[in-house]
Amino acid sequence: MKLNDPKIAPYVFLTPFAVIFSVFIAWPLFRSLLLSFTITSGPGAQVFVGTANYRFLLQDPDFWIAVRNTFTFVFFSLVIQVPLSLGLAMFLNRKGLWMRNALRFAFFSPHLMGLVFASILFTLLFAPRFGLVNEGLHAVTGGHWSMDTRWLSDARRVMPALVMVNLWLYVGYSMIYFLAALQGVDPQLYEAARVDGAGPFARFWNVTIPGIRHVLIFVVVISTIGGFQLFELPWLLLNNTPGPEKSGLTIVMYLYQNGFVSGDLGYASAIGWTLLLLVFCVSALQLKLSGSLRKESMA
Amino acid sequence: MKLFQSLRERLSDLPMGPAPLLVFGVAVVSAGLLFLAPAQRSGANLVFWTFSPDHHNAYLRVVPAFEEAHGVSADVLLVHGTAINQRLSSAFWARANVPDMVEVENTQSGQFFRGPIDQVGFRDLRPWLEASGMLDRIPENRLAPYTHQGRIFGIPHDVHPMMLAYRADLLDPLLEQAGLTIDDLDTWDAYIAFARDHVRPTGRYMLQLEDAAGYNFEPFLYQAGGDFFNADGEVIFDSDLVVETLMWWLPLVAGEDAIAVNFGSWGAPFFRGLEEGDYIMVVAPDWRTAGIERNLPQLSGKMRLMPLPAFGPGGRRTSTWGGTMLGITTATPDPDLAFAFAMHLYADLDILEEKFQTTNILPADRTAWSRPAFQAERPYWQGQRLGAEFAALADDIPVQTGHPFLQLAKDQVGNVVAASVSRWRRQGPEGMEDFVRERLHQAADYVRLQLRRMPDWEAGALPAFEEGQP
Repeated sequence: MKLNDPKIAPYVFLTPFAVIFSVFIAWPLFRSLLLSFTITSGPGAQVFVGTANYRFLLQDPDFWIAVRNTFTFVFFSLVIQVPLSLGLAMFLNRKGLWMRNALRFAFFSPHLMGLVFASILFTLLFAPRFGLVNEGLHAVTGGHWSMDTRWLSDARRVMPALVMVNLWLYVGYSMIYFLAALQGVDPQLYEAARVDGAGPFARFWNVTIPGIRHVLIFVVVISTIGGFQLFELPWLLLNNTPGPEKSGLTIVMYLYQNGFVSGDLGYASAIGWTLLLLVFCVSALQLKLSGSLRKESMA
Repeated sequence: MKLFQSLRERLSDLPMGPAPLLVFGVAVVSAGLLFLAPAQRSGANLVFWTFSPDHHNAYLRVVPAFEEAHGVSADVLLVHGTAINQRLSSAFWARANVPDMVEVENTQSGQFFRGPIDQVGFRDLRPWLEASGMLDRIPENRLAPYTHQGRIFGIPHDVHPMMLAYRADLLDPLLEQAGLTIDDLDTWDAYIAFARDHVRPTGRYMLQLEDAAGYNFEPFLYQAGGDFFNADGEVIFDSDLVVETLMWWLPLVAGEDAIAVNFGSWGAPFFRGLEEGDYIMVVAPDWRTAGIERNLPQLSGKMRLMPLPAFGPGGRRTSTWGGTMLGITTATPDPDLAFAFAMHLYADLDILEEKFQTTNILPADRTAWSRPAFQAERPYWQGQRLGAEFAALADDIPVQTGHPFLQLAKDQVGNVVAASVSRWRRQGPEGMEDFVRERLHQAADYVRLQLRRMPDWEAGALPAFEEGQP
């Protein structure tokens, strides 16, 4: 038996992955599924409770607060982030734009910062009385915006603050995908559309969007999944708490609190599997609505 | 050379060239090296985790004396508080790399008492505390947070009586104008009236209070005689007393007559507000006074301390905030040695005296309180005898009953506080009491529901939780 036999070699190369995947992904996933049917206080103390964790989850008000907050965050992040990133990409894709590369880097660079750093930075920016955000809004509104505005300690403003920080971090990141996609659109299509009398909006809708469709769907799906996994940002920004009136409580934060603060790994696992189901459903819905699940025409 | 040539050719023949094999080889060799030479465990006889840089610095100075006296080695490691809580839990669960001793903050300590009592990762220290006489030297109320089902799982590091630290240079002239002295502010009614009539008109606030969370309400709740759980472990934070206390507290921070302002918790805005005189007073358990000294050295000689006003004449003039326990884990092979080290750190009078000078923290061992450092006049506080002031209040600190779900209960109350403050600001005091009562009931019912969900660990029985039954 020769390892470089084309029939055997792929399996040789796949073996390390298969072993690592089985040990570190598949087995823990299976174990967490089993755990979700128990109440635990560490691995030493487990009681099998059947589906009680899932039934409790359905009537757990904190879980639904976390679901509501997470969906709100995902919705507003997507609705603002995707158009902003695309607009920015189109702007920075223009030939002859002054300092084009520097601007591209400037918009992308927030993503290079760690979430911890960004959280510390925005804690200061959002501070009442001295924070730059309030100072800026105070100046822009001619003094109407109160310098005392509490972004992180007022339940109504926590979510807008989280969306803002998220935009600052990820608009440039999504922009890079769109830039790459825009550069792949055949310029002749724009020429042809122009010759046919298409205006800027018609060219955008009929040439640009179809040309970047796959990347657009990719960015939407990835951003959605990322949004559902939101944890570090509110956790750090709100000083290891769910924020006032739990306005920053997300599903993953709730999972973390139950699993690693309360020690109830069983309930945390049930939350995790429910999150998986939610993300799967939302992503499938997005792909269905975007037509990505249709088979490519062979013609 | 030929062999090398032949090997190169054979590698080139691989379907994707030699690179994947090389990566695989590096991975195997690295894994092998890690397996053969895992991260070094401490070789010390005792490993001790603490989360406080102040404690850590103080301990490092006194460890050599213990090592010399006992002929052993001890490692004192500074571990972030969050990491202690989570890593220690994980370490207990996985029975891996557990330190011999660890300091845990009192709100978090309860989480380690969950589950079957015989699986708690800390030793019951009652026999050692009794034998050493330490049990009689600790203020009784201070043991409550670390006691569960009759077992004492931690030695209190501190007492943390609470006073009010204030800008004497700003307050004294106002008191003089009003024909009062600080001693006249001995009840909250007198304090609030003075703040509204004489301080607010100057544009300053009397007090700094965090109003978007519960931790600045808790000391007042304790001072009023409230608690989150009773000694039987029942949820009691929706009692009439707690409703009344919150209804008393809310107008301090919300509405036109508010006397307190929120400058955040212990960050740059907090200190800047005190420095610039935006507010005059801050709630100050002993540990906070050292932080004020460190962060605002320019206020030296301008600050003083006063006991909390009482809720009624002759009432309790203090409360408490925070606290740390030292636990000895069940993993330690030599609990006697660990307890001896704990006593070295917590009961050696010279060490306690030295530690107080840098931390201002009143130790739990009352025999230390009469030592000179505790009686010394402190220039920063206009010559007040800081140790003596705090020690005089130590036996009056209220009970903070410990519970495995204490953190959850505090979070729930914190949310009610934040919601109530928001509502008061939006809609005023109309209907506030009903709102507070209802929210506290909901929050308490949620904790009760979580408690009912827990199985009877000792019997391994199914939880009492039933769908639709809060």
